[in-house]
Amino acid sequence: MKINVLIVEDDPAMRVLLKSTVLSADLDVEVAEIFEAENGKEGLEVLEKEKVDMMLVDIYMPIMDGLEMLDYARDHKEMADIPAIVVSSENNEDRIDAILRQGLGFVHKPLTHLLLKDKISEMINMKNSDAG
Amino acid sequence: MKNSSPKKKLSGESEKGMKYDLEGNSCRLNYLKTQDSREPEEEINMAKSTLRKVGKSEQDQAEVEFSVPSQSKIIRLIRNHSSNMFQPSFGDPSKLGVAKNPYYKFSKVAELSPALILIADRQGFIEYANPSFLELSQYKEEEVIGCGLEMFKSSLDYQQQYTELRTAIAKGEEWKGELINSKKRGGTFVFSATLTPVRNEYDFITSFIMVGQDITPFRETEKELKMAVEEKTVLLSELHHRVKNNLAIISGLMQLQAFTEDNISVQSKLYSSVGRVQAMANMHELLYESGSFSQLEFGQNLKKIVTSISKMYYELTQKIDVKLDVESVQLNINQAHPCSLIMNEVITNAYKHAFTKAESGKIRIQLYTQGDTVFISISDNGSGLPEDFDIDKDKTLGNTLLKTLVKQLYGSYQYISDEGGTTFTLCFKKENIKGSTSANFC
Repeated sequence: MKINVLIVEDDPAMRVLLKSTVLSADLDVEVAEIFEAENGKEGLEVLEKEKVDMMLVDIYMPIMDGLEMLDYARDHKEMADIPAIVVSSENNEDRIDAILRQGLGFVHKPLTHLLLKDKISEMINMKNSDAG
Repeated sequence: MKNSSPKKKLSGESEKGMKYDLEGNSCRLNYLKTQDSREPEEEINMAKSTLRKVGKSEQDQAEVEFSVPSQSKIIRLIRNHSSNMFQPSFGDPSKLGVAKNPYYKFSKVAELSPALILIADRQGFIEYANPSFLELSQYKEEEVIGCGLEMFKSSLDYQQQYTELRTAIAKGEEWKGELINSKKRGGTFVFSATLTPVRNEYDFITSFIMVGQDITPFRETEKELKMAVEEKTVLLSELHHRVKNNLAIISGLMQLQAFTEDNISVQSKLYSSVGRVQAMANMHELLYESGSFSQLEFGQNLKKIVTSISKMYYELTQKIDVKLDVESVQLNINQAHPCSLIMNEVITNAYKHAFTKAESGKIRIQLYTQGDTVFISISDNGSGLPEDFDIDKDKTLGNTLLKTLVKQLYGSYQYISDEGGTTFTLCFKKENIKGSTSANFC
């Protein structure tokens, strides 16, 4: 199985880190292509043009934040089923709970390979079992 | 003050023909009778006597009361320096001070005071406004007399202070507050005022006295200071956020290198460094989250350190049970910094080495204070330190760092180890001094 991953993160160094982590995380699936976006608006533009199978999305970004972007995606059928993992340094437990209740994954920054690998596998399996 | 006849005043003659001349110790009072004058001789003698006393004094100005059967007259005497004689000034008797009248002094206080003073009748209509109030509010006396106190109410009176004031007047109670008042020609001033009811001998309220001061400059300075502090707080918070993010990226990149490193020894060293960077990042995160940039809740910090280590040693985390028993201890950042790094070294060591032969293990972390002394202990039920381990001879980076940091805290530490596990204890005196060396021996 090959997947396309979209990384939405405003910090260029963090984008490099996320991309490298995804590529070296020894995932159960093969990564075909990684798309990058600097904010939620750019992320939605990628989603409209490209076939994306997994999203890693930061919360706090200029122009459009990650949660706003994911809200929009959930309301649009063609984007609604794409598994998304929120990658953030958010510490507020209530806000993290709210993210998890929406069926989103959450990985705290700084992320580790093993945590990311587990979370990506979990999200893909969840989607496959839903589809099945 | 209205003088009925300024020209006559110079010559020392009143409309009723009174003339006073004083020279040296002598006093001469001339009373020029007019058609309606009925003053008896003894009153004139009394006035003469008073004027003699005044004449002996060194005063430049004096006032005497001169009673006549119909009414009380008030004569103000001003020394003419060229003739060294006192000349009477025949002003409006109701406005002239009365030396013998004690209330005169108090009315002068109101007139000369830099405080803002208003007197209102029992319904709250202004009867008197002192010159300080008139000057600040830019109104003339005749413009405010008879008006309600609300005439100064500004649209900036957000907190309904005038409503409170009106209620106090209706209830006849004392009131204190800050009124944002309008000036006549635009602008506002903050009147910090106290309203006090004045009661007569029958305990009925006859008027209200409102005394206070203009605190506009204080409020403006306070506002500027608040804004400056807020700006600095936001900047400091932003700074800590950025430092934390940068450290998170550095630790992430190092972790990435560690993950792809084949050499186990290099990988281990990289992971140790990742832990140290993350311990620093955690502190910056807590600092901007708490909003206090000099104090750190160290119990919370310990929890963060444990979370970071457990994430990094994800596989080991499954078999290690960590129990935190921590008091809320506020530490100065200068102490929290070395202390965090010490904790990171010791807890990481316990994770990596205590349970290599065991299927599971427990780590207990305690933080408490006794007076000014902070105690931290980290104990595990692992295999204990190797028999040949000598803390004083160990030259590893971790141990060197530990010793240096404990020294920086002016603290002491010890490792106690046996087959039941290892216990590390650290104690140091809590200090709040700014600077890099803010601790003492415990």
